[in-house]
Amino acid sequence: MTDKKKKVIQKKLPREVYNALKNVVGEQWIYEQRSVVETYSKLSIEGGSFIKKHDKDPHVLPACVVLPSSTKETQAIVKICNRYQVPFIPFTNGQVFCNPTNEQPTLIIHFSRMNSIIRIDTQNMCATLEPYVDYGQLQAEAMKRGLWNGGTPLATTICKLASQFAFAGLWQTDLKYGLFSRNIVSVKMVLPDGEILTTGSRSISRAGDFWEYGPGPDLLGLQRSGLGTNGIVTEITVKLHAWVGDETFPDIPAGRPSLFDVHDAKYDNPPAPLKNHKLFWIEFENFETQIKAMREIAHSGIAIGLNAPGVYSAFYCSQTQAMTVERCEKKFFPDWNCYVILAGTTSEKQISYEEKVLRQIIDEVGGTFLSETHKPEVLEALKPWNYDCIRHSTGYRMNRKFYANAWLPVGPLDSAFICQREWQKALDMFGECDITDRGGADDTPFVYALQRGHFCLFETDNYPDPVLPDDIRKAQGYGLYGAFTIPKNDMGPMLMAFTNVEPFTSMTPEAGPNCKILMRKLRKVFDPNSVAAPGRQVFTEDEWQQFPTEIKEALNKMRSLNDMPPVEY
Amino acid sequence: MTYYEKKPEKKFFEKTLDDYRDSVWGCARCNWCQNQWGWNVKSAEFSEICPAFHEYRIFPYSGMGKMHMARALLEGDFSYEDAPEMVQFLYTCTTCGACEMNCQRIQDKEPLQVNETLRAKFVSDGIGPMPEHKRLIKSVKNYDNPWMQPRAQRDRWARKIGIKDISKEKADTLYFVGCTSSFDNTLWKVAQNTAKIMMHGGADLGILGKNENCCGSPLARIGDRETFVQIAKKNIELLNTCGAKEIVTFCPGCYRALMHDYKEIPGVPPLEAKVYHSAEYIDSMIQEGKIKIPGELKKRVTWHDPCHLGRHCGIYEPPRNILKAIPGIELVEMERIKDQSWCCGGGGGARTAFMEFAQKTAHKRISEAQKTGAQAIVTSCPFCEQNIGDALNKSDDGMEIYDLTDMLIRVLDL
Amino acid sequence: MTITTDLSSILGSENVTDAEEVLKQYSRDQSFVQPRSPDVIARVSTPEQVQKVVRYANTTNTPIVPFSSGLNMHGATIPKEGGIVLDLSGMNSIISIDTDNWNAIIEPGVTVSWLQDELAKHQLRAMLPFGVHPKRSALTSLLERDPSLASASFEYGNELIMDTELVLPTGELFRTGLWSAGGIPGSPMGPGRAMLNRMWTGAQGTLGILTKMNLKVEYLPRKRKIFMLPFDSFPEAMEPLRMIQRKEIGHECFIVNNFNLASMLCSEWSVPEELPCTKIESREFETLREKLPEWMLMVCSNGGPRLPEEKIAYEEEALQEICSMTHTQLYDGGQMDELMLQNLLRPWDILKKFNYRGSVHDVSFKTTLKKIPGYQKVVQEITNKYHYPLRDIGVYILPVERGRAYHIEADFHCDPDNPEEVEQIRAMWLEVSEQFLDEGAFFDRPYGAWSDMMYSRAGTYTQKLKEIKKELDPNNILNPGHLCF
Repeated sequence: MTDKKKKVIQKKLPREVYNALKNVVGEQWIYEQRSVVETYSKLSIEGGSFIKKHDKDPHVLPACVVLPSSTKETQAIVKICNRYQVPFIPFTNGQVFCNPTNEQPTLIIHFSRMNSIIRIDTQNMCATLEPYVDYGQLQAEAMKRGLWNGGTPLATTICKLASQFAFAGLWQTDLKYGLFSRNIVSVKMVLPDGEILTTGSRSISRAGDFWEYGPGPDLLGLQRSGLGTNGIVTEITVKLHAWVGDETFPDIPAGRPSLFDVHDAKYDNPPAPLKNHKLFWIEFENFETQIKAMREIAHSGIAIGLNAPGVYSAFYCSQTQAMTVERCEKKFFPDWNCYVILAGTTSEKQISYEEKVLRQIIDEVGGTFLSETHKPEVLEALKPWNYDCIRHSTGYRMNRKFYANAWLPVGPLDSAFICQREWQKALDMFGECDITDRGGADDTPFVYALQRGHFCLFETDNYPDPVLPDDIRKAQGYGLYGAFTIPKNDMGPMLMAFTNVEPFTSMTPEAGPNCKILMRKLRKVFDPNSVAAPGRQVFTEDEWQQFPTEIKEALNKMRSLNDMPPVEY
Repeated sequence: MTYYEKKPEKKFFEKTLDDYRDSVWGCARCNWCQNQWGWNVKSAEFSEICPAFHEYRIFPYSGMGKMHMARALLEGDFSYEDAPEMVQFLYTCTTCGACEMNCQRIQDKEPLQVNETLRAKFVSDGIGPMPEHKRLIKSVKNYDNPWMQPRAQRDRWARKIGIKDISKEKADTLYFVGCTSSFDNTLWKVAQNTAKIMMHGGADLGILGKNENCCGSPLARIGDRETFVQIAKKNIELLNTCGAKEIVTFCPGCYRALMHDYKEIPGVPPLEAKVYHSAEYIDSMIQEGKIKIPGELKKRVTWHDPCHLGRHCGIYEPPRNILKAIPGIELVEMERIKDQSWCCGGGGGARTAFMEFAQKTAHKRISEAQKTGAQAIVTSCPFCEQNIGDALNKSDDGMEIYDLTDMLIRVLDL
Repeated sequence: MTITTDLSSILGSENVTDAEEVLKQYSRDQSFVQPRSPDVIARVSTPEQVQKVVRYANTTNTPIVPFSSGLNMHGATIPKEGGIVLDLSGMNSIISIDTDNWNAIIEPGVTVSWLQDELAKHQLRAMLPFGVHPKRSALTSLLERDPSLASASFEYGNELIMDTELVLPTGELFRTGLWSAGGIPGSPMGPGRAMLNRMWTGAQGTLGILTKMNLKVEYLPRKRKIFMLPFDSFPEAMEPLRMIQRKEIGHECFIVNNFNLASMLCSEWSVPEELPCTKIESREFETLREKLPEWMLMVCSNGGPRLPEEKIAYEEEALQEICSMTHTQLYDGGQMDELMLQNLLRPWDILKKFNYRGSVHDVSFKTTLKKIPGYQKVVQEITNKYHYPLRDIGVYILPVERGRAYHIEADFHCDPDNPEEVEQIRAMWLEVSEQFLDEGAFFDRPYGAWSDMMYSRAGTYTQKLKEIKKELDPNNILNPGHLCF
């Protein structure tokens, strides 16, 4: 139980530092009041963040929040951090998966003032954005110009693209367009040492911003997913693709909700996918057939999206949490299913052709299309996807209660079976949290087919109770176990938490191998003063030595559960 | 108490922060409380939805921020003394409900209710509200209206229109005028037009005259629950005994109070009469042919959904129907409309305490309206009219603001 | 003790040589880069041997030049500071071809032609760059970001590398992609979510030595159809090209000028075994060059694995629509069609162009469509100055990822045995390169003289590369003198 008498007191920056920062951004854009820093400290959606709050850990409270308005101001802030050895954390929405804990007073650099689309280049199909621009904004502007960015994360359209550069970036249209990492042209970054790095063709002043590699060895791939520890993205140029749908999403005929009828299902029901797009849902008899069909579809070259959401539609397509639980219990959505998004980029006939191919595959492999004659009520309930398949808006329904310690490994399609097997094993070991519906749909990982099926991503989640620390710890155990069982079973790397965040870098010497050695060298290059602190990719030797022994022990225990030798410390 | 443990059914005005414990712990920082529902985003410029976050750019001003601050207060992480700035964050909120709309839709949580409950706690603990609000509360207590106006002046607007005083003469329909248009003589015309149009459509209309009280809405929003409940009880008794079968109001604040807030007070009888907003009442009259429109008015207009009318109470189509029924009117929509409408900045006590913020918010709405090519903004809320009107007066925007009845009355033979 | 004896003790004397004539073979290529002999050639056949040699080189501060096929045309494997040439051509296994997940694991010595042959047996294909030598290492080609013909398609575009295994400059083994997790391959991401493999691309072996790569492969289409659109000038081709890209028609799409097309079609020439080669005069070439349209836009529609005819049909219809909108007639290629289709899978006939003068010096860079006519102007002015005939320039233009960027290769020809001509062409080539750079050309693979031009302009990027190099390769042993190192 939380001790309600114990206050959590933030540390403050030395006045000298505060004043230097104030001189950069102006008095209006620097805050260190207790209530302000509170709103930058309990992050989603990793259990650790919540445990720290339950434990009243003061080190998750930042000392101060600054809001720069430009790359130049960001650079000045970072230089001050270097001068005074102040750790900083770049921040947009705060939807991160690990909650950094810093002993020293820490600065949050919040980018909410840098929210402009700097340019959309319709000729060369790319858009340059400030860090606070989200997917919805970009799509709205691009679609008017016959372009789009290729997808949105299921974590919804208000994810900031620049943040996704530093973290995830998984879309439901990854079959064709690949992960977000595939869709970046360049970045302008303020490096942890205060230098400004631009990548790709933009690194040469007269070349323009259209080419993502080089010059020579490519640093973009290195910076991608650095979790902000390699620098702060202040401008990002992303690829755009041909868009053949409507310029804006049409209104839903059912009208708009009010606060008193917002949970009515009719407001979630877009009539049909957007112009020149088509969505199909297919039910399968078992997981094996589903995976077989997915492979065939991916290899047939059709469609822009192919994913199997398993039980997850019970979240996305239910208007309340109670409805989600009920649908899980009643197995309203088929255990084994997938959806296929077709787009007629070349012509309308492309859709007819692709539909024909799809039907041929399902005929051969086995499966039933959801239709007016087969489970029409399920098809009706899945209607949010008619718009969500392009601009996902219902994604955070996953988090109505809490969603934590997910497993998100990648690998070949067959790894779906390993993922399922290991997940079941983990649940046996740690116990289930709430809506995991054993023996049914929830035993199925969400399967995303990426890049024409060359590789896939699997997702399994846990839903602990945020107000019960013991429940969260159970989910954490499951997550930690996953961090080791994933590589142990030839899957990986995890897309979200773990493996490239400490202590996992140090506790997984198998990674790479020699990942730790390489990352330490790179850290020295990019962050010589150790000020970039949103969660370390790699510890220095000193930091590793100071890292709590009990956590090292606990992680070694997880290793032993996977028959992995303990890591020495 | 766990997330799913069955909680005792409670009405809003008896809830305390404890009742929102899982809600505030469960905030996933999805950030929908600051942004347009994804499917509705039409441009980058107008994609945000929370006026306070839009202006100040830090989380304590957003719905999410309120959830996090509430969690910390609830768990004793800090106390009022540690965070005197919180009062400002709580009250720089127009209670437009956009955060709650999107959070309800996606997360089942209630950031506006949490903010109003926080406000209530602040008031009951003597920390809030803002000094400007204290004057307003005092006025309601002393004069039955928030604007320090003598009770005797309340029915001055009605002197020339020949409407019944229901305390003297029986009427089927009570016109609950509301304080703002009763006392602000620039809004008298709206009060008069509304009455005239309804009477023209055959309504047997009466008013409470000098006996009308504040509906209590400003107090409910500001967080003075005690005074609100007292007023509400008094009003319910008055309205249930006045003999009217239906109540019509043109003020969205009054409408929400009568329609929903009174039901959320524990232990009070329900209002017996059916409650209508004047827009839906007049729209029905037009649909039923009770009001015929002989004239024509050539104007390109855009409709501003008042938050307490639209998002809070779901009245989206009736005012649009009325505008569409007027020959010559061309209705062009802004990007942010209906449940995703951008607030004028005037509600929830924000205009009273933070005039500059309220005006900036109004200017943003004006700029959105201008993008439609409309000549005028039409709305149906005294607060929206005041706030947007003031902003228009101080600028060279060349745009006008009208009440819905202003438009209609011009084309009627009255 | 000498390096040769030391290496012999590590690798066996049969794998080490310092014979003058052998060293000479490794000292030059067909580029303008100054030749320099290595001190010793070491042939390795396992990653462990690579590690051993690298560790040895670190103890003696000896430069190492990784070498797989030696068919880089831009001097990337010329040992600028001598040292060891690490010949990886013996590591030449196709370790696996995964028909379920469409990828193949190869070692550095696997040639593109062999890989394509082997994949074809499984109804698969590799996506190869236009003008690749059949004996070039498939791994090196991808590592050096040779733009594949499938670049037009976004799905395949420029990201074909999945997992990699490499030896770091200090001798440790390292893996990227799913391999970094220790087990099976199957992802370009890793460790973590980083696309770390990209750091070693375009690096000319300066940051590590790749010993294994898992690359994406595609199905081998059973039905294909090629369409050719002729143009008298490049600007005329721009709008149809843009429209074709926006409609996403075709798997491959590119433009060649009549010089390059005539070279490919010339039956009197063959693809040289080694570069440079002996020049061969050809009347046929001259006739073809005269006869062919100035510019030819090629679009190849690949039938899918299912209902291939129907896919080709809807793409053809959409293409016809563009032709009629832009008043463009399809070119009847006749027998050319078959040759072109063959060249999309085995794209080396274009190398016949070496027969014209013996060596070819390309200016290859990335740019945008709108800027291309500007480069034409530059070339016109500079070639005039040098009295180089405009018609003797071969041009290849490849849209990348549906036209976001364009890869350009403009070739100048010269007789390598004529020093005066070589000097003249070198000067012209340099001037064109510099002028192009000023016009916005981006040399993303800054070989030879381009590296100074690029890195002197790239500010922090250059600085950080240098710092990374210093950390990763503290003794500066890997291919020193190249790039900005």
